[in-house]
Amino acid sequence: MSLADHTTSYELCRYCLMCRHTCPVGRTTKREATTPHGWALMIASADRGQLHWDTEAVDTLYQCAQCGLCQSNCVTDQPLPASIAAARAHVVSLGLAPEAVVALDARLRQWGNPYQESQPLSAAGRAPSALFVGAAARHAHPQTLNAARQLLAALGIEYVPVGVGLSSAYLPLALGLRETAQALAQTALAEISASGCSRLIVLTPEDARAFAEALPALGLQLPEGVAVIELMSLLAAAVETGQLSFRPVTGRYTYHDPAHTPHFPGRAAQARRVLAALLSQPLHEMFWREGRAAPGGAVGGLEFTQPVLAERMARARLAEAAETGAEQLLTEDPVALAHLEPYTAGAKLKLTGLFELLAEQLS
Amino acid sequence: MILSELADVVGDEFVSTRATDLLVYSTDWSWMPQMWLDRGQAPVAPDVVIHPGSPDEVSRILKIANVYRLPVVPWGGGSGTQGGAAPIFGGIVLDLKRLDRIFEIDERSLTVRAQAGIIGTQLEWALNEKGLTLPHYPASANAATLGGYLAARGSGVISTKYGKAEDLVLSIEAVMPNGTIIRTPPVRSHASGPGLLNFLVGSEGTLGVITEATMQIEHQPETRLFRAVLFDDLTRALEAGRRIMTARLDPLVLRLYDPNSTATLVKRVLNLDVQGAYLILGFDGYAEIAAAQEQRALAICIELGARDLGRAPGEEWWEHRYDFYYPPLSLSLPKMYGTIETVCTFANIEKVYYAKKAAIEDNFAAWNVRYIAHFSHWFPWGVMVYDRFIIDEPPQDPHEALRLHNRIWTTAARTSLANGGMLNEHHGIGLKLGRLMREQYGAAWPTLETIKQALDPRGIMNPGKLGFSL
Repeated sequence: MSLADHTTSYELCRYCLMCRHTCPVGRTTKREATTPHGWALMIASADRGQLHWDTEAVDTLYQCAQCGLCQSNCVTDQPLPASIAAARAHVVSLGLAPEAVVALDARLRQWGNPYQESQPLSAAGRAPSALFVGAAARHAHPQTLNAARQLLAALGIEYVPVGVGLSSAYLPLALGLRETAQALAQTALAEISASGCSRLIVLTPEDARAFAEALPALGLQLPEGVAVIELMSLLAAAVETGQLSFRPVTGRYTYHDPAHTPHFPGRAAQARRVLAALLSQPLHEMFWREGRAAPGGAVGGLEFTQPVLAERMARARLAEAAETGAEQLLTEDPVALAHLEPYTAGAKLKLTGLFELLAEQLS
Repeated sequence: MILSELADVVGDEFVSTRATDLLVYSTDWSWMPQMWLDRGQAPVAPDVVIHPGSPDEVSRILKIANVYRLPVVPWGGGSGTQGGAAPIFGGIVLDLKRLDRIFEIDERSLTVRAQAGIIGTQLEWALNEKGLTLPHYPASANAATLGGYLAARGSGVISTKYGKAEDLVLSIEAVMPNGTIIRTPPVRSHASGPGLLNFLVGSEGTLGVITEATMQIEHQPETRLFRAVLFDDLTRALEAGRRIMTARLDPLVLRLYDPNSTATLVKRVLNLDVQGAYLILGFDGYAEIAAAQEQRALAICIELGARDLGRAPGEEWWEHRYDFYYPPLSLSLPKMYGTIETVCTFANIEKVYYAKKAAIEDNFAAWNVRYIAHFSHWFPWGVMVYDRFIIDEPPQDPHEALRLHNRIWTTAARTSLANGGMLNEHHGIGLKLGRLMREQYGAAWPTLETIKQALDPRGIMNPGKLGFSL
């Protein structure tokens, strides 16, 4: 889809303020320009010749986290994040992408991931289920993958790992890098297809969106009959039926909902059911949680393209976690775990991978 | 040089002359600047956008502005509809959203003290965590700030029971035009001289910058009851509202749609295809008391010929009460529209409504203007009529469009004044209605002008708004 296909959305959003309170970037910067209506107004104004895509305007456009909270909180479900991604694709097509985006694109094209100069591993074998590992669980926070393997074994699920070390299409699509997104998606689809699976297990809501939404946006689709499900959903179901149980942990814990959680109604509740089965004390909840869950800076590639903003968001998230009185911050999102870790030093808070803790505490 | 001085106060990061910021802050939620942008023309932009982080920084900025005689436009959420935050003379836009701390929630006195830049819904969510609520639910809450609530004397959908923002505030901290930081007395009800608090509330940034407020809050109610009734005609529906209010049945919500709104808005947003005057009744508090109040109110409606539609449509309205404000359900460009609302006593309300309806529909028939209204904020003595005009195909030339827009507004406002209404009940005056303030206040206007000139002799505070002379 070209930018012109998104006109309705950004024209409707340019003067609408109804989602602004949820925007994690706007809350961080306090700038109207870096809120949903600000981005929409910029795009609409560029259409009208009132704004030029100079370095500053492009930089502001690339401050959107693509977390989707605006759309999740929109009564009429306006797809503004997709419009912003389309505007970025337009900027890319004009050769005006920021240097950091160009560099990230080069890494994704060459290595299939933004983290390491290492090619993705090839998938092998066939099974009823496939586990999409992605880039972060392979390179940025590999403990997530190890734990996921143990949890899947405990669930008795036979699976083939696919996309091991491969970014999903979500990141490049969000950055306006459609060709790169297409190439990554096709690689993943080939592996999924070869696995013969009917169920694709993913580790995060972002990966779920990558297959449910990014693929169609690229004119692609999963092989027929393949359903996407998050590992967290499987765990919640297993806890409910009694298939899985955990040795309870003591201490004060808070929980960071992964980015894109609000996009999936019921997802936050699933995570809390699993946490309730693990924790011996009630969760110390943060303010920005569940339907208003805020990302901690590692979303939409901000950690690569807007590192200062991403750091501010990470520090704010950790400060909020500390304010709950918790001693440990849990999350299962490997992207968030890798991004938050360097900033925990002064936060008086230990960051712990939820899947790792669950795997350790399996009864 | 000036930018350097400003950056010395707040830091480079919080002083912006970026093109994107100047563009986005060139328009608030009012029709006029949005129309300029929509037609490809730039409204006046600020010269600089500043994000102060403390009242002291606000003070120092105002002192600099006084030296150089720079306009200063305080900016909360930019959700005003009257152009109150439009920087029509350029200068400084002072975005207050960094002032977003909640200092204290006093669960014994039921008050909250917070900075003025906190967004309404964020404050509400924080209170909800403790089972509390600030009973001010404007449709703009997702964008508007606490300071904005007060600066424009806003009303929310449950103001009929809990009052307007101005009724909920106990005290404020404000920075006066000369940079002096003041606090009003700790409570609003006293006999210790004139109401300094009330003087700043509603001043729309022309007399100072509100930086903090202490507000009255409530426990979340045990129950909220809603139902809908339908009247054949508006007169009986208005009479029902009057009787409910004068009987002191304390409704949470009395939202009465005129027949045009019932046939359009109610149908489009709530998917309810009915004809007549549609009235939502709402009561809250202890279950048995709310139920008793509701039964009394319902009996009044039935006695006046209403048909009880039951709970479901009332609850549906409550659930979707803000949906009316999301695009494409809300009014938006390229249409021309304006909310020309007013407030008056019960004795005058039908006169005001029908006179305005006729004035709009008769004088602007050539533009196929539509007039719709609802009555949503009630008092023991009267009610506000939230009326709007809509033109689906306005002139394309921006000057011609603005001229027509102003003519309709002037016609509507003068009709309100002539029939016992006010210029406005809760959207404020801003730029749009400033020229009519002299007509509203008559001989009292020079008193307000004198005060403005005494407090702001350099005329830096939000010039061109509220009708004050430059």
